[in-house]
Amino acid sequence: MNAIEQAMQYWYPIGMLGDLQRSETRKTRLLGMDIELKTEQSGLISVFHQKKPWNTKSAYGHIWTSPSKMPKPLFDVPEAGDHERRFVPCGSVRVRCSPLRAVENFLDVAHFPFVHTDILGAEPHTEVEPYSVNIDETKDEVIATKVKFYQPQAAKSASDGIVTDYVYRVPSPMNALLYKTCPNRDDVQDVIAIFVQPLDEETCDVWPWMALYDDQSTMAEMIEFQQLIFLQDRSVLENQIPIKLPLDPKMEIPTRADLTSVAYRRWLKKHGAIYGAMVSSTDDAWVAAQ
Amino acid sequence: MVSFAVGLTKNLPDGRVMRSFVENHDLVIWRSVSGQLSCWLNRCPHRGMRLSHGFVRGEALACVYHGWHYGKDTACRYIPAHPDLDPPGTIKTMAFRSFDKGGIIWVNIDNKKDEPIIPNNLLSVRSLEFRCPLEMVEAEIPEFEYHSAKKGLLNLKIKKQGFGKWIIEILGQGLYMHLFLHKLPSQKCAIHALSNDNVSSEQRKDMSRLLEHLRYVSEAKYKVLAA
Amino acid sequence: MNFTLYDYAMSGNCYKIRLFASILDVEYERIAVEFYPAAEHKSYKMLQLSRAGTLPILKSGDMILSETSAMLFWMAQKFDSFENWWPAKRGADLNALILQWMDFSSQLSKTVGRARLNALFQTPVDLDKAIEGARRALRQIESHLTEQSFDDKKFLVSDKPTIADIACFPYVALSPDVGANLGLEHDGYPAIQSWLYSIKSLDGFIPMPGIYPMHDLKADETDFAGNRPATGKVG
Repeated sequence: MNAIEQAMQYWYPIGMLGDLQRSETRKTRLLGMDIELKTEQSGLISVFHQKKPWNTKSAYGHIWTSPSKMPKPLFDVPEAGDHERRFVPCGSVRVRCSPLRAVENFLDVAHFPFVHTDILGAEPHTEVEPYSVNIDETKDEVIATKVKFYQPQAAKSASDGIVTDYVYRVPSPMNALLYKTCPNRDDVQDVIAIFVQPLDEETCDVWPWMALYDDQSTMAEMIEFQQLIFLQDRSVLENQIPIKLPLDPKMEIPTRADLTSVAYRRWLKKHGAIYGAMVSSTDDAWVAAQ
Repeated sequence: MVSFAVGLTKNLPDGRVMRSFVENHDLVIWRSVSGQLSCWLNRCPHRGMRLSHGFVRGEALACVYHGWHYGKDTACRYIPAHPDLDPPGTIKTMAFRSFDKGGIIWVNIDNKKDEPIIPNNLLSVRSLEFRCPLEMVEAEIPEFEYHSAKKGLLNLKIKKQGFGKWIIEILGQGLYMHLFLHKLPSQKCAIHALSNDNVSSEQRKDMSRLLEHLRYVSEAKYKVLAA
Repeated sequence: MNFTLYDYAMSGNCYKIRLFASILDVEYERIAVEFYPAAEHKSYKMLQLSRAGTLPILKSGDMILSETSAMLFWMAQKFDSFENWWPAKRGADLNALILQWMDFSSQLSKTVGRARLNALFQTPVDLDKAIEGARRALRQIESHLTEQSFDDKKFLVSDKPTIADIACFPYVALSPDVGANLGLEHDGYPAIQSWLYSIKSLDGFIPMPGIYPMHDLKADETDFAGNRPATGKVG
């Protein structure tokens, strides 16, 4: 199976539920293919590539599609059924980077003090304490637990700095979720996800989505907070060389703080999920960057 | 390979960072707080971030992504995620020979010790980026004419000093300009220009506008050619 | 509170007002408006407040302002008793030049600003035209700042910053957001880089997404030689 065939087995977000107008057709792109997202007068949504219909489904605030006739099941987010939470889709932000680099950045806490200064991190609180990473064999997901980080303003609803606990989940190559300390309640965790629509190997639309316990903030405030964080990341993501995610361990040097990223890269390689990746250090684009 | 002019010394004060290119190498050029110049491959070995987005702290350059600090010897000195760790010596950037001479920042990617010939009493005019290939500008300069808004058609004496090196003398005004052409990727180039030192602010503005006109003419010709 | 600002964190125009308020150390009430994806600024409720249908909106008592140049002028008049930012007494020429660059800032919004919204959110725009206009505007400001430097002036109209600098700063600083290799990165504009650095060095400067803070050292860290802090683990 080559890179694109492997990638075609998954579901991808291509729009936000509730954002589509009746009798509207939107053009977008997925895995280098032009597609049309049609909404009938009846509200029925369908997706076409070269006039052939693709599978669609609605989940987690978004419209999902897959080029495959028999896609792998969409991952489960149990918290999506918890009606005490507020569900916050945030629209999409386009980034000229590999979809895999966007996911890897989402899994990283060490950049908080420098990229999300005075919000998700601040000097001198830069240390990343040891944490655990493993592969959940039954679900085949990368899981990082016991991640802790000091945050000046962990969420829109946070008023003071707190040490935030994180759990990360990567259920498919281009989607990731995190569970973090809820600033308002000790007994539950907020969920933040990024769903990535790969336009091609070097461009993506990122659809953040949240399921929060927050009865103080307005919708505009919660969306704005998440967009602000992601736009700070965007400036970094568009300036990494090479654009594709290097999977050869010789190409980029990790430390202990990068355990999640190391596990993610290995897991991608094991699955042949290399759409948006650079597999070998003999790759031309890599040689050119030296 | 000879040394390339990549920018003007005055445009990189102490504690600042810039980006430039030589032969398609993406470079970060920075000056420490004590004034020492360095030129490295523009890439943090950790996660590939362009170091030209980074910031100078004392005698180190820090990557903006995770704050990894690199000393002037290219070695990684400090990883904020692991404050107690002495980073292994294998984590380092790749350096190229760089130096200031005559108001220009020079880079030699073969790390050869050659000394470009340039008078040492020149005054910076400006660096200007052109959206056309260097060859277009090389071809344009000998033909170049300039009508100054204040002084009418200037009497220019144009001399080639070697590949990408020109002297334009404005006769009757006691002005001359040294131009250093700089090839950039994607069909672009830049000119780094200096003048004799006994010139007024008004005369520097005239020379700056002359360069803008050279850019206008070169780009217009390139547009026609490309179409 | 001195005023209410209807605001969107990702907007360069809104940022002008937040930045100036921070520099002047003025407190205000901030109301987040969902510019994207809901286009709340075009909602019936928001149009009742301001017919312009744009952000930001500044409300003080019964006064509603929808143009950022007017807001900056009002803030300078009201909160800058030293008259640094709108130096009314320094002559007609200087004031006219400030107004000229304030007008120019709307060119930046129409070119850089629109091209950037397209790059982020695919907001419809004639992209080639916006990019061409953005490049022309950056070149104009670069050439002007170069000439200012010949007279040892670090800012657009004077040796000190004025509201013209605040008006032009955001979209010049944000131009790399539009994309690589379009002539909108700052690499080719050394005078712009120096000017951005001067503005980021001002007391009260605050960043926004796409505009990094300086990450400058605290006073007790100035001897930092690139090695890890002598104290080792901190915090």
